[in-house]
Amino acid sequence: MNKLNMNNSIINDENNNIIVSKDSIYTIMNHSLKTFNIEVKSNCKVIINDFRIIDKEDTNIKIKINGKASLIYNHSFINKNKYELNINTTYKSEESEIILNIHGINDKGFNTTNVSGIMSDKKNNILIEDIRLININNGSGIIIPNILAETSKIIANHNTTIGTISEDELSYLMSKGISETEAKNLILTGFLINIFKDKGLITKIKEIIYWR
Amino acid sequence: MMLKIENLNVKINNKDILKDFNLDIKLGEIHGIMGPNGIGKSTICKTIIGDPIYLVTKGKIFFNSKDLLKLNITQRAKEGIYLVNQNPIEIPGVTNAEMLRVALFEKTGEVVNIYEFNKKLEETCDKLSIPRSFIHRGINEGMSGGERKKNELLHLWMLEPKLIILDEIDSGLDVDSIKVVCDNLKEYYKNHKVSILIITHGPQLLKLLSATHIHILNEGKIIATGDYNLALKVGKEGYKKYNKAYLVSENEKNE
Repeated sequence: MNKLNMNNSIINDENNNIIVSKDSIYTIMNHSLKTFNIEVKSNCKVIINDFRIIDKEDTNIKIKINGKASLIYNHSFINKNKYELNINTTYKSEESEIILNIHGINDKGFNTTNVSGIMSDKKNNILIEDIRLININNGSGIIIPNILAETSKIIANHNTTIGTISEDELSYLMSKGISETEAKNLILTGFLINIFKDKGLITKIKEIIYWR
Repeated sequence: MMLKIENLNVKINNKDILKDFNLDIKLGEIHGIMGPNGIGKSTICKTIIGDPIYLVTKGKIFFNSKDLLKLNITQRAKEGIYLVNQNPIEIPGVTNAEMLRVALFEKTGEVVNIYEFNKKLEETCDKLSIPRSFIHRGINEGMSGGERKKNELLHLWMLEPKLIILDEIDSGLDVDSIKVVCDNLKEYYKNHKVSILIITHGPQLLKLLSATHIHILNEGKIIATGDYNLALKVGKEGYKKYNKAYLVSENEKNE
């Protein structure tokens, strides 16, 4: 049985289903769970922080959200080989919000990120997808964002970028007397941790990032 | 001579920007370069700091007798050259403290004393009238134009450069912020043996920083040099009405 350690408590069943009925913050560190289904009950606020260093893996996440609930899924990863990330969001009622912040570094690896937001005809819902990939060492990636909406009474945004390390950021740090290698390390680390607010998690990530 | 630029030609995107540009700055001098928009003022700053986008096709730059053109950006910064951009970029996730710790380690080869490092950071924040929370904030992240300039001065106090290049730092600053920034720069100038190169449109910043030498840039080179009165004249009459009586020879510029 797969077990998902979230804030030191085991919250899942054989099918990796998680039902959240109170305000919660979950942390996933380097977990290899391949399927992850979460349902957020009405009036709940949920934050999931998920960091992984991936060799070869597929991750499928299904999110269901009920009325007046919110879910923020922050996921950053370093992909060293092959990573397929599929996120499917479904709105079961109205006045709910899902925010997906995904920052990935493809270090030699290839990544496909499929994000599918099924908003159907449910009104007053919000979906914000912010997906950014940085490719280094000949890494590459594809982002496929889909939003299905059958009403105009929603807010649905997606922002996707794929690129390499910013030359402007690199020059800026080098102009402070930092070597190119160290400047790149700072930029990449900052990119990975920037979506998290949990200082403990940020410290742990810095400890396990292999280029530091 | 701290900085000596000789017959410098610089191209960007195959377009000639600087042509036979000359400039000498001695230790302790404060120079101002004025000129209209798009004339190449920022090119001077970026070329001195070593931005690889700016292609030097001819000429030399010496800093304390070292050939700067043989050094990359990092090496030039380590020599003591510091640029404050007109629009400092933000680097989310990289805190000021983290960046400065790495920069100081690379400069000195020694791990910083955290107590002294934090104390100096906090004192400098107070001096600049910026919240101490900036120390652990991402570089320029979510900061206004004025806060970014002050944040750059926070870096300056920690890194202790010898030549400070200010690229239109007055742009986007309100009157009070300009005063705070200039007072702070003057304090740094008094406490350290440094030179300053100011790039600006108008005379205000030059007056506040008591610039000793004023140069007018046109067509890729300095066409006039004088004292603060030259800046005042340009401020009153603009660049088009510029009086050719101020035009000086190459020999006079070097005096």
